[in-house]
Amino acid sequence: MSEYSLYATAVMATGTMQWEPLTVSELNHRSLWSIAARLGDRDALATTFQSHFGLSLPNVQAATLSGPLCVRWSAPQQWFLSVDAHERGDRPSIADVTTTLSDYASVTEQSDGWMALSIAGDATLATLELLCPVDLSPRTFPIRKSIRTVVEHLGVQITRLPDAFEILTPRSSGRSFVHALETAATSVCGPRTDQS
Amino acid sequence: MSQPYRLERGGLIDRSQTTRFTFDGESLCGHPGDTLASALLANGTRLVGRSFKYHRPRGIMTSGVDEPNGLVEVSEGPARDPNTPATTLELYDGLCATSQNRYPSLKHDWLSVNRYFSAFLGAGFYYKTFMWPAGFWEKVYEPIIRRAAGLGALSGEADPSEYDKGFLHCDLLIIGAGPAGLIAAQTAAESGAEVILVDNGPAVGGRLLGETLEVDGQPGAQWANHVSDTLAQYPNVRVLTRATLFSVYDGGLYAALERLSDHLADPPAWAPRQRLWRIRAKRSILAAGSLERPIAFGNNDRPGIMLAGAARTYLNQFAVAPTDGLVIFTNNDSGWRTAHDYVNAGVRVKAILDTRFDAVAPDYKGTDLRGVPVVRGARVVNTRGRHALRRITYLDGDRRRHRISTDLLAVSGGWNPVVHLTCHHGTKPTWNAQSAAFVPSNALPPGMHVVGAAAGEFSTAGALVQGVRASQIAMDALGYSSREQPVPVAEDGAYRAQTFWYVRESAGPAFIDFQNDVSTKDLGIANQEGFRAIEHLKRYTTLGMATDQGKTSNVVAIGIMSELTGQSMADTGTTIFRPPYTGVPIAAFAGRSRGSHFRPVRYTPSHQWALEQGAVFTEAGLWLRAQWFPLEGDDDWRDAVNREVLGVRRSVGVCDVTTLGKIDIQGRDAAEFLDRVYANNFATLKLGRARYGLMLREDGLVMDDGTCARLGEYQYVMTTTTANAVPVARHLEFCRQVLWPTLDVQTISVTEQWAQYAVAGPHARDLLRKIIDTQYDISHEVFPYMAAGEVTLCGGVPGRLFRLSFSGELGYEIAVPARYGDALIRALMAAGEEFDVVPYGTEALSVMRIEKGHPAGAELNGTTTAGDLGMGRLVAAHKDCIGKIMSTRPGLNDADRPTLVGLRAVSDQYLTAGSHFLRTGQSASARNSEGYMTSVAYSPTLRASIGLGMLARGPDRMGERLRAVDLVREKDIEVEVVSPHFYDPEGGRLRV
Repeated sequence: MSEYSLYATAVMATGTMQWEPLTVSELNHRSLWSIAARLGDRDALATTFQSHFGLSLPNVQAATLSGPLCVRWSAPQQWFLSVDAHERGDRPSIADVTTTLSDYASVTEQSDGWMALSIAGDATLATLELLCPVDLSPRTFPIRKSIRTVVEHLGVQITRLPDAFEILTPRSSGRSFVHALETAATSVCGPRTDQS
Repeated sequence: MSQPYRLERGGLIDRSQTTRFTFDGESLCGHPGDTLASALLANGTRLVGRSFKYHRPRGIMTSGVDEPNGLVEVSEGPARDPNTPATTLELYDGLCATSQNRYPSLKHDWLSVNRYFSAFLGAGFYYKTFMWPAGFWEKVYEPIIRRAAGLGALSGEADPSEYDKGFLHCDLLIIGAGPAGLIAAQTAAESGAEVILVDNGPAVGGRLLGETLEVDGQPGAQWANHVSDTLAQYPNVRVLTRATLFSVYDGGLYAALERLSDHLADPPAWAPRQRLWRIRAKRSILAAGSLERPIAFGNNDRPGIMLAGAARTYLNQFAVAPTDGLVIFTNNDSGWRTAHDYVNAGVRVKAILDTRFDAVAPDYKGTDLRGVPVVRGARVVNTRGRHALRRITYLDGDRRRHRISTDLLAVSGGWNPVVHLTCHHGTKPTWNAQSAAFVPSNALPPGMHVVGAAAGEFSTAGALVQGVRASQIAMDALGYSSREQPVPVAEDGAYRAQTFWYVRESAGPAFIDFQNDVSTKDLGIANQEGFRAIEHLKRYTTLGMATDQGKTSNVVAIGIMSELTGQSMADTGTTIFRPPYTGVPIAAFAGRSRGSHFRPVRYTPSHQWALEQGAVFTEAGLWLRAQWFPLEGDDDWRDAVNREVLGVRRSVGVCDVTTLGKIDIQGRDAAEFLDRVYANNFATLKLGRARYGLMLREDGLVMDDGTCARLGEYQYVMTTTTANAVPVARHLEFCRQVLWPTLDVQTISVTEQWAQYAVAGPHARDLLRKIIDTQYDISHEVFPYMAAGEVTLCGGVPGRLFRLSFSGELGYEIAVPARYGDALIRALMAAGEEFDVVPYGTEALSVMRIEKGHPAGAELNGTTTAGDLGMGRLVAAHKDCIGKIMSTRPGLNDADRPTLVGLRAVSDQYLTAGSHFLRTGQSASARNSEGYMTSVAYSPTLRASIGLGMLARGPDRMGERLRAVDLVREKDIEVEVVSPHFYDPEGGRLRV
């Protein structure tokens, strides 16, 4: 047993931000992989992916969901697979994903490259329309739609889930993103309710 | 505190409440629903401002965004907002407004003496007056003119308000919520399209609010309210009031400024003041209405001379009749409406002076204008009254002179469609003789329709018909089924107007641009002196260049110029209307991005820990990196840096190198790919090994350098410099997607994924052994210099270990998933305590790399070749790579090219980067330069000031003495040319 132990640090000190009609939570139990199809292997990858994870590889700007698994289109011939677990030990290890898909895909762990935020509540759209150049209204952005775009100069991937929006944004600049989100939410909802 | 000019009944104000405000310190009252202008008029305040040049007394002239005179400063302290039109400023309790451009007071303004010099201050006066002596312009004249110029002033302090911005999307954007805009919105709403309706004012209705017109059998304002209530039922309609659509950009992008809390007495601290919207619309309908224009006549600028439509607005919307008996001066039918409304309100109309000999009284049902004297063919030639209008003089149709005492002259020179937004793509409006107005041309921004008064359709019924029609066309184009919309019954009177611009017989200055004091005389001067083209006229006279951008003045000036030159209106044309339509605070464009949030900040995984150590940070692109770690007792930063360098060289140090770009490269052709992008050979790189890589640009110059490690049969991880992390990633994507799409290779950035620390120094391995799980053998034999591999540490956390050294010592880089970065730096420092471990920052990192002669950003400066950097042999001969062919160009292989050398100061002076190398005795000119210093450091190891530089024929000149001359910092230091490898040139310390 090592004399030293390593603990994980979240980007948001508090983990959540709360307004009456809005809740923002950092998804800390999130594992994320980039899966890029090898040249000419897209179909084989899709078949393997389906049989192993029970999910189809989504088309452009879409996501498919099954339980704790979510796979989003992220670039031509590339997807982001995520798994949420309550405990760290529950997640499939990188080796699992890599081993399963390595014949047909380049798999790269991205779990720590991104801060994942869940945004839910009645004021979600009113807040996000201050930040996001893409129309997120249900008419043009239904559940299971997922896009990469830019928010406050930062690359993001936004996915609409049944009960929340999920945003991936680079981890190192996460605090700047959180500031923008907090400022926007406050200008819509008033002061946070989880701060005195 | 009475409001002597407020009528007892009527108006869209809330009489149940009283609103208190101050103007120039005087306490006054109004009602909710008032603007500052209407409240001032209700209180009998006529004089509200001073003009720009002659400081002439001015009063309220309009009732909207076109106001040239009534500009005030709002609030006090840092929030002070200058040049705010009193006509658009909603009254709130506690509003504090002050007049501008006067000293010491509005009534007694010293610079009003300027009007006596008006003969000398005409158009172009300063170009002619301040010619001599030539040297006086910059030092004397310009500062004086600048001090005298300008209207209101900013506080000079940071604006304490919050601003905000956002994005909206719709099928149909409707600009203006007058009758045409409202009916268009209602038509589209029913079809199910996403509609955004934007209006300037606090309520919808547009001109209907200021008129007594009926729509659908009910008062216009009531009808507008009713439509507004209907629209509120539609989830697909969004109505933005207090929002000015100020610009039309490409691709269906529009910009609007929404004023969220400007009208509130006490907005909560968190509430944004204004919000800037970027609106993407598939189609748009411009229903922005029209603005009335004045007529130029002698002394037409006195307080109490107002546009006739504004006089109606004050009467109908605000129940203010600022007169004891008014006179109307008009060249079109709409002026008569003012008479109609005032007579109906029981106010005496002393005369209607119509410029038209053939004017026919419009038929207003039930109103008897028979008691009102009408003079046809009339023209007002002069007015009297120092701070407020007292009397006017006019000529009747037979040129006989008459005088009337009056305190209000309502003037109508016709109406200008608000065409501005139709011109933001660079087109100009066209002249329509029938409506005597510039109307939108056919070359509209794509997807835009113009309706109502903005299109030159001045009847309410016509506007409604056009609104319905345009909305249906838009719905059809967008694939929505448009329903038949009954058009409500409304006023359908003809609009008859005469193009009468100015009174030739005027006695006294006849103003056109009230804000900039441009008169008919100035136009005459411009004409005489050849500044006739409308764009020249504008610049020469400053017409239309004030904060109102000539909304009341432009067309009048064009009309007068066209008469002076004999050109038609169409040939004279307009200037170009550019965004924004009305002023937009810079703060609104900035929104949330202010102060330290001006741009994103990237924090390294050890940031919090470094902060706790008191680190001094430096910006590296968006990153904040620890530059050095000061300790108590340090005299200056050099003490800290020297301690860190010596600590590493003596024992061990740790540096956060997370910011270096890290790119995961995979695929069956990854090795081939690397061989093509790197100049040196990569096909032979073995699994578990890393190699230094040099990348060329297409033109053969060096692009970037770094290392690349092979982690799997088909997997590599490339590192780049911090500065080039993104450009290199982009370059690789371009190469794989565009240049070689047949290669099986995939790339993705993993810079953010891994927290990476350099652990360097003789005790580096000893320290890492305490961290890395014991099953991994990191001895020199098993894990030699340039080894790379996956490990676990601290009991199972996955990590990567690279044996690399930038410092020249036994060195490693250890990487863990970023979430463990904070824990790892703390573990490394704790584990290293027994070795006196030091954290080191970018400054010590740089000192050590200079001591080792490693090129970095200053040497990879976009002008150097591999050969220049002493790495010519790295460009592999047997294979091709990007930049290889171009790198063989003769000019890039000239023996005289500056080449990397080391420089050592002969004395103990500090060297400066940017110095040029000169031979002794030569003058310090660019011609004599033989190269330049790229990087400098004080080496605590060598106890000398050293540097790297690019010197012509450098390698042949070892031992030569030169001067390093820095004219900017005034340095001239003797240096000796030496090898760039100052420290451990054989590299023995790396390989232990």
